[in-house]
Amino acid sequence: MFRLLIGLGLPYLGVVGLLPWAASVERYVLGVPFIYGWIFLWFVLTSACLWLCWTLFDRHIVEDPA
Amino acid sequence: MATLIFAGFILLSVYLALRARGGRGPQSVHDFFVASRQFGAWLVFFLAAGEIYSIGTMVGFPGGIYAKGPTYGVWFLGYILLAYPVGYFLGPRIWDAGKRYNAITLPDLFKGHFRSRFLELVVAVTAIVFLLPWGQLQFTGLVAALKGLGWNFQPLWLICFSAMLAFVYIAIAGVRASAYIAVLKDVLMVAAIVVTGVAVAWEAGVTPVFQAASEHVSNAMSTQQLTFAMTTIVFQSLGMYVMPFGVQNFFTAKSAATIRRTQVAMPLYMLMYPFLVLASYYAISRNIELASPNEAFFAAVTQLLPSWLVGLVAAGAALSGLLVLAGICLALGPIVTRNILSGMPEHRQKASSKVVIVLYLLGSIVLTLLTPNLMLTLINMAYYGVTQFLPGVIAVVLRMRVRATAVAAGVLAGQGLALVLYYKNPDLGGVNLGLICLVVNVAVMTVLNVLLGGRRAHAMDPGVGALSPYKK
Repeated sequence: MFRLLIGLGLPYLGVVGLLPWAASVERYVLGVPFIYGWIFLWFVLTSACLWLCWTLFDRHIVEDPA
Repeated sequence: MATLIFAGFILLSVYLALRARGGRGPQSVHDFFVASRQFGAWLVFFLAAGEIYSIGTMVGFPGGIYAKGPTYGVWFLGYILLAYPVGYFLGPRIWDAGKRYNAITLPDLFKGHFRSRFLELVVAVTAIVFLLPWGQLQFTGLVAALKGLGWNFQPLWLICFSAMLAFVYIAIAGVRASAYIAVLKDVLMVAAIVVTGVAVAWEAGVTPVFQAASEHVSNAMSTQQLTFAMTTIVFQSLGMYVMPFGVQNFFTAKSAATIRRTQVAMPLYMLMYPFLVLASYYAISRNIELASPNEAFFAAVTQLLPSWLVGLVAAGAALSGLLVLAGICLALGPIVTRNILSGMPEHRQKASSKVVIVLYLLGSIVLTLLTPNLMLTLINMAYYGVTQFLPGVIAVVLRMRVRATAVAAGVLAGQGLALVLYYKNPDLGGVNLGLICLVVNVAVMTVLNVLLGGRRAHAMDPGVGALSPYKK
């Protein structure tokens, strides 16, 4: 359950859930409109979430030998 | 000069295809289409990246931003990004089911689980119908890329040339050729995008480009645009990995862990997009006159880069289109020979698939010539139909006991409604019409399943399930 929350819940919350907020910010970060900067940030964060799932839960699953 | 470099890379790709075949005897059907399930993380990664970052990335995405502003940029990035978490959880289960039923194609999964000829046919036929726009998308992009080289032939010749190349790759070594070429294509594509982005930053600077562009397109999104972006991101991220070629890619993996590891790295690959966004906004900020929005990226390329680099960029773009075409063909061929024409012996499936592939390529060519479209509209079209397979796929991987008739009715209801809504074009307040259809699809499936008595699809083998490592 926790696994789904980290791997699936967090990225969806960040990218879809917070999109209205991100779109309303009228700042530029590093020369880029905030909305783009926000999505770019989630490229790294999503990867981090999945990496956490992998290290915490899935790395130790023994493959079905059949 | 550009043409020379371009031709060099294309020749290199054909050489790689030949190498991919190297030293093997005659290829079996399974090896030809899913590499006998032997690929490790690297090849699965490149193969998947090869097919996800189609020519839509270099041509369609900048074109969409150019024509419609940030709404299109945001949903395009968002949906691909969120598809990876979906793939992380769904992919290993699809792989598992594929092994259980010895599947090559997406309809094979349905056949194995539901044992219903009707459902198998529904999935097979509609998969092909909704993949026609995907092929059309590649051809439209290829024409834009080849024009960027300064080739002023009729689009028909450019398209036929592309179709021929795609066919050559497949005919040489099937999915193994695709995987090898994918490595070359990804290196070229990333190099091309980064070089162009850096050139823009160098010549014009990041801040000035976005500020100049903001005088042409607003960075703010209306409520309607926001709703569209959010619902489309959700809908399409759910659909990406039920694309018939996406499912088939999972089948090439050596193990379920291989798939998980590729999904972890996938989002990082998207770090090329900032460069691409910059190049797209350059075309807007400079007010470059374009014959079509699809030429936005190449307008920036030809303005900023020396001729030999233009050749490299065009080769990267063309290979991405060709590879995706090859991928679709490798998915559609066996769908026809295994799932539609039943009872064909395995040794004839390979040769017959090649005939089907030629027919599919011809069909896409005709569509491309008859109905030119903004590329991102074509992406939407394919997803409306294909995502409707998702409830069925979930039933398969979770071994749910759902009636085949209910699943088939759900798929048909979802897809039928999608077509109606697409052509009637009613005001949905920005909500992605496919998402509505998906909800209807699930509702129809559930209601019908209850009405029919909700009996099991077929007797299941409890022994295997108990051993599954995914039982938690």
